Amino acid sequence: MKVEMAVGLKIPDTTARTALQTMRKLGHKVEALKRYDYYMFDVDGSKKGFKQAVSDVDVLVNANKNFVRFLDEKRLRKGETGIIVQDDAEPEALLHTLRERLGLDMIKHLEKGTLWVMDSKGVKIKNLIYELLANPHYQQVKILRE
Amino acid sequence: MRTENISKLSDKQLAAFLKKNSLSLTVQEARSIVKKLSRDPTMTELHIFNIQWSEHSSYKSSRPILKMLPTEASNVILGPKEDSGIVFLTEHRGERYGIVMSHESHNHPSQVVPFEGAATGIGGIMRDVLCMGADIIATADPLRFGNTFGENKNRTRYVANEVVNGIAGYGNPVGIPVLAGDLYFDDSFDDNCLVNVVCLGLVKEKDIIHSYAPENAVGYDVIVVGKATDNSGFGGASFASLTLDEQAKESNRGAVQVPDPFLKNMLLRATAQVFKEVRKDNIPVGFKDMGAGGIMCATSELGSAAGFGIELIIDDIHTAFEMDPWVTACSETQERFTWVVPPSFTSKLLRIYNEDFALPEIAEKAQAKVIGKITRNPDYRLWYKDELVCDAPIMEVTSGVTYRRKAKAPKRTFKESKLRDIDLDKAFLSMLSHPNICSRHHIYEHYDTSVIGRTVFPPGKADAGLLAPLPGSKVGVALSTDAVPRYGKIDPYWAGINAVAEAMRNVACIGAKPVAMTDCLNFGNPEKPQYFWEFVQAVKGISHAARKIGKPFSKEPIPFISGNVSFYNESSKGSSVAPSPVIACLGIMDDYKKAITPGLKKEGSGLILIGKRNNELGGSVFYHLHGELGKNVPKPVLKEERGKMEFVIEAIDKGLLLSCHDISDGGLACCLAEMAIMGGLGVDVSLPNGELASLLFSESPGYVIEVDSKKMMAVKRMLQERGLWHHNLGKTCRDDFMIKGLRNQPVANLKEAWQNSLKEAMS
Amino acid sequence: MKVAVIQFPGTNCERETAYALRKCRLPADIIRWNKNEGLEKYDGYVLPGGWSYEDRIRAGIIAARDPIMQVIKEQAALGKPVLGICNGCQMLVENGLVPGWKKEVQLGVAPNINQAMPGFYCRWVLVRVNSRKTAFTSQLRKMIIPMPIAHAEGRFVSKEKGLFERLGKQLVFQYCNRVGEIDETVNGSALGAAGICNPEGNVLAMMPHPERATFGFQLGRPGLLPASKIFVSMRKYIEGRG
Repeated sequence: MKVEMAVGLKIPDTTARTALQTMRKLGHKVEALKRYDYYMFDVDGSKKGFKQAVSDVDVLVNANKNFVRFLDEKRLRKGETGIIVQDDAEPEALLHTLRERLGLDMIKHLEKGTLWVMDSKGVKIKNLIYELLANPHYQQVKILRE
Repeated sequence: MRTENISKLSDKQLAAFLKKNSLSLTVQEARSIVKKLSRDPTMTELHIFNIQWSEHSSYKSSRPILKMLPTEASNVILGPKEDSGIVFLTEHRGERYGIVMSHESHNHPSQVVPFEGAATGIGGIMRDVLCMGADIIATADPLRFGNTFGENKNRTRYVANEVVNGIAGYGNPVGIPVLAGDLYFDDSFDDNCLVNVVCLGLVKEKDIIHSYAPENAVGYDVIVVGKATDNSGFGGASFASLTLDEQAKESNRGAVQVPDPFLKNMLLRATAQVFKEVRKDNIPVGFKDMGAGGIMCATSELGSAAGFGIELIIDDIHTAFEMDPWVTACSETQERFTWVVPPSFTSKLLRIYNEDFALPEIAEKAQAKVIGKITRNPDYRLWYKDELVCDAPIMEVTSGVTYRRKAKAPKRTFKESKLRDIDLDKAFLSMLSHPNICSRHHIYEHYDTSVIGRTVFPPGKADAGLLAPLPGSKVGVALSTDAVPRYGKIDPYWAGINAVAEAMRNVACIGAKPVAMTDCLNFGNPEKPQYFWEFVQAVKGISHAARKIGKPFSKEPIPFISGNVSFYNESSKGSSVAPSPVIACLGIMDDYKKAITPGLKKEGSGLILIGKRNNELGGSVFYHLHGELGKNVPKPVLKEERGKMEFVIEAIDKGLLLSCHDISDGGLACCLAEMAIMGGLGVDVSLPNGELASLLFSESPGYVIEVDSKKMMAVKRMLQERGLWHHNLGKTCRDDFMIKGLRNQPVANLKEAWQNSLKEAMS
Repeated sequence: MKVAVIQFPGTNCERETAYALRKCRLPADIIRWNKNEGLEKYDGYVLPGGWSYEDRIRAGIIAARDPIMQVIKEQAALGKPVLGICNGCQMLVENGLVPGWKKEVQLGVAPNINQAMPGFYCRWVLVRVNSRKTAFTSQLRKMIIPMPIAHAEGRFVSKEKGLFERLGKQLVFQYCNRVGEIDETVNGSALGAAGICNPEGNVLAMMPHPERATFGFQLGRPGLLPASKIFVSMRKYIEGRG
């Protein structure tokens, strides 16, 4: 069973802010860019229990600077597009830590990446991805619409 | 002026008022403000004094005690008066050069948000060095974390990993190599890690820029450069002066400082350009970095240290969003500096930052901006929306307060451990893989240690890091940091002595002369007499060692040129961390090409032990391994320390030694093991008479040297001439590690125990 | 004769790169990304290491899309030497100058795969020299040379099957051990690739840092180190073009 989690920053996100500037400079009229760390967990057992447990894991979520959204609960707003960019290689070290040290052995499979959420009216998403957001030789892209 | 009518409040009401406004001033302190101003203060003034009188900013508990430290010597260009200290390095092509050195802590932020805390710690220490007009050339990270195998292991591992990630995540993009550091794990740091940072810079003596306004600066512009001010870190200075309360953790988030190494990278380069222009036209300037207390602290000191006043318009400060004037004035937003320059230079300075290096494009609203002026009247005046929100004598703002804290020795006894029937062979291998001894490559290979291209010995190569900082010159700069926490638990005085002795020893081991030190004193709550006693004892120890070991080859003490005190290192449960007087020692070599490493070099060469192994297992890793603390900490005889040190330095300079390693954590056995592992050669040695565990694992100070058979006579003669106790251990050999009393085994076994254990302790 | 060392916001190796070039008797100017009039007049270009644009989105991508790259591409097409080191290597891959077969990007420089040391990895490695027919390797006498790496994204990778095998002599550097056997464990790079050039041999993208392996003291040895010949070769190449 898949659980998709987005971890955002409560403190200013310098990377997102400057990424937005760059997108605009390159002619992509993106508005309201937000950036999240994206995790896809394939888990056995209780979804609710897992969500509770994983939100407390400080290697993923530091309550002092992060907030958590689960993608099955929080929908995109009208006019928003989400772009998930994932590296091909599996995050083995992280999976090992979560399963072995932190006891989350219900996780069977883990994927991680970056989730960009933006107001995309008038933005050529495919071009943005091709020109900027992902290198197809080692990254895959998933597009989420509202 | 809108003032707060606190003089009309009763003590109880005043206490409630202070709490409501998040002011950690005491009632007495608040009332004394009224006295100093001869009127009720404004809210801005209250916040200013709140920060300026916090422990972190004012050193109110520690200043009287720190007077013990020796700070003067003939090689000191600038002692601990400004943001960093400066010592003489060398004269090269007619120019005199100095090394700038600064040392700070960022313990509490690193416990709450380890990545940002450690990153901003590195960021802050870099600014301290830059603002003396220097080129930043290296950093070091003395780190202490909790027990990663204990009941809090998840938290301690998380903190440890994120701190390392934070240091790497900041230093690597800015492009400053990590040159040295040390690492300890102990239960007492479970709830309160220690993240200390050291930074070195290179500057021509004539190019030093001071942290105060120059002469005749009346009318000069006060310019803030860097990130747009926000509320991050607001209250951070007072935050570092409180203990960590579990429930308060969430609210501490507002105090988190946000690092921006990308902006810092540009600021360094833009500032280098400004330095060029200043030097080209000999422009009198003042330059100060902003840390605790932000704009208020930096500007008030720039003015008061030179006898001037300051007048600022808070509305002119570039901010991320609108805030209360005291937040804008006092927040600790990172990546900012303050310049004081003659108005004729202002437009050039602004152009360099805002256009040439395009700060506003690098970070939102980042820029250089004029926010006020230097005034003749020594007042500190802040305007906001055409209203005067602060009008205080500038000396009152900067002079802080001093307290005489009570020091009382705690009643406790320590006992030497009665360990029986220990399998010494098993213990030996366990010690090599002990987190306080094993190879640290798992950490320092995450750091960029070769950027700038001047590194000769990166971390892990030898007992001290070594740079060749000056192109065309043979001069070498060495750095080492030390302080064993478990000695501190037993006897803070001797912990101090040992920290100084060991830091100096490590520098001497590569052939460099210790020339200066900095200190970062990490202790518990100074309002509790037994913890203040620990602090006083440690300062006594480090002062005594600095004077009695002294600067080698001189009649002077080795001077402390900069330092930092961090109190309130304890958890809400009230237990203090192990008293930790962390020492950083700077060394200089005339010819870096003569430096040597600990790795054994040649088969069949001789090994000599210098320094008796005494029954001094107190605080040792051997005892730690068996769950004991002990009592008899190493007690270096300071005159002998000096003698041994001078011998080692001279012998290396004369090319008489192949390798050298100091004996510290893990004693003689681990010292020899490291030399064997690093050199890929074995040893065949026998020990002097005595109790075996003591001989192998006691951490009494000492050195092991490897001497080519052809040079043996000369070395022996030198040792005898100086009356230095020594023992012929034996010889190096091909693959086997053989100490009489321990089982013989191939060096490969030792390497396996030592090489990858840190990764296991931290993942 | 002079080369330009290009400095983007976030670049951090420009000073020591210019210094190493000058010490190898190849004069160099550090040119800021936003002050580059007359850039086309230089005889060669070096894109040094660092974290240009903070590695926003991914390492090297923003610099690869900067207008200044148009000049670099044009000058490269004229045969001038272009050397990309670490972050510079990432830029050359992301703008297709390397391997230089098609306009499209055919390679990526991905996050390291190294179980023992995930993430940023800084240590000295040995690199095998496969071709002396490039603008940067003609003077290299030794076949195996030491240099440090310092990167988190150094793994050459491609979706195109067999691309690395087709590189032939364009696979200029490969990580190796002391006897020259290829080492793919350093960062998981395909065929242990550490440096790739274009078919003409005048554009080289390499991950290790030659400017940190130029002088003996950088490795505790006397004299100069073998990697200094990379800069000497560049100089000789420019001299040869007349």
